[in-house]
Amino acid sequence: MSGEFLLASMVFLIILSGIIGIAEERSKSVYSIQESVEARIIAEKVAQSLEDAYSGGNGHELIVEMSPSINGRDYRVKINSSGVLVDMGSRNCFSTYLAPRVTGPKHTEKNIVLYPSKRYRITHQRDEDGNHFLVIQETI
Amino acid sequence: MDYQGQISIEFMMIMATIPMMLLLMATFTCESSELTLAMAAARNGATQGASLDSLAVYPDQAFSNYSQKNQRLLLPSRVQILGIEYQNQGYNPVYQKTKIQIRAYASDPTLKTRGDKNCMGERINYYIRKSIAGTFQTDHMSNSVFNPAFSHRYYYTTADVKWC
Repeated sequence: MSGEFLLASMVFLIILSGIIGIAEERSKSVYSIQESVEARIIAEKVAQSLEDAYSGGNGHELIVEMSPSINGRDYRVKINSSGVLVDMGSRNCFSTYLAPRVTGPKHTEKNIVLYPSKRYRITHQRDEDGNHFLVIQETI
Repeated sequence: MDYQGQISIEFMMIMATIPMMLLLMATFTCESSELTLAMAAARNGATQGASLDSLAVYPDQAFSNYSQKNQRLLLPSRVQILGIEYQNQGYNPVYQKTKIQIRAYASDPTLKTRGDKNCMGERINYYIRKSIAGTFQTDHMSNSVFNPAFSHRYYYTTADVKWC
């Protein structure tokens, strides 16, 4: 074998091993960003739905459908007075909404959890004192 | 005079020199290739860090800290990486490797306080080091925050991100 061939092969192998490492890291990075984008979309979608229901006035209602997973991972959406939290187990994503109070079907819940693949009805209601609030309940 | 079966002294010298040159060139190629790869990995990590910072998706511990002290960071932002440079800081006998310090330059007009910028910068630096460790498969040699990160001939630290 010629010296040139040996040198070329050596350089090729060195560069190839590096490129494989970089490609692998890049792939992990893209996967992680895709997961984060999906989480952000879900957080914003739920927060936007709450704001839409609130701005629609008393009696306005809408349905929000939850995605089956975030890039194949299980998740929960937790809603309380401070905002909407998408909990993916090891990572979290948060969004805020502009509605005075959000509660569940019993009208006393302060923390509401939304689950993947479920449909929820958000209804704008008003109590006897004239205070507006949103009710979230699972629907078919 | 019978010249058959003999080779010239020049040919023998050339044949002896070629392997030596090959070894030398291979060494130089490996070194420069390693640093080039590390910087490519660093850019990849910085981009990932900036994207995740912008989307405001954080691990539990960071999320909990930001909820208390840096609530602005819980909402999306616009972090951009403007550039990355490195500085060779010489051979370190402790690690028996050459130290490379990496500095990223970033910008985000939505971040106003120094505290918020420091938090974002630390996350970008974390992903830079993580990407280098992952590329060279030296995760097991580092601590949980990959500081320092290692390749075969170098070890890498990160300076504070410079916000422009």
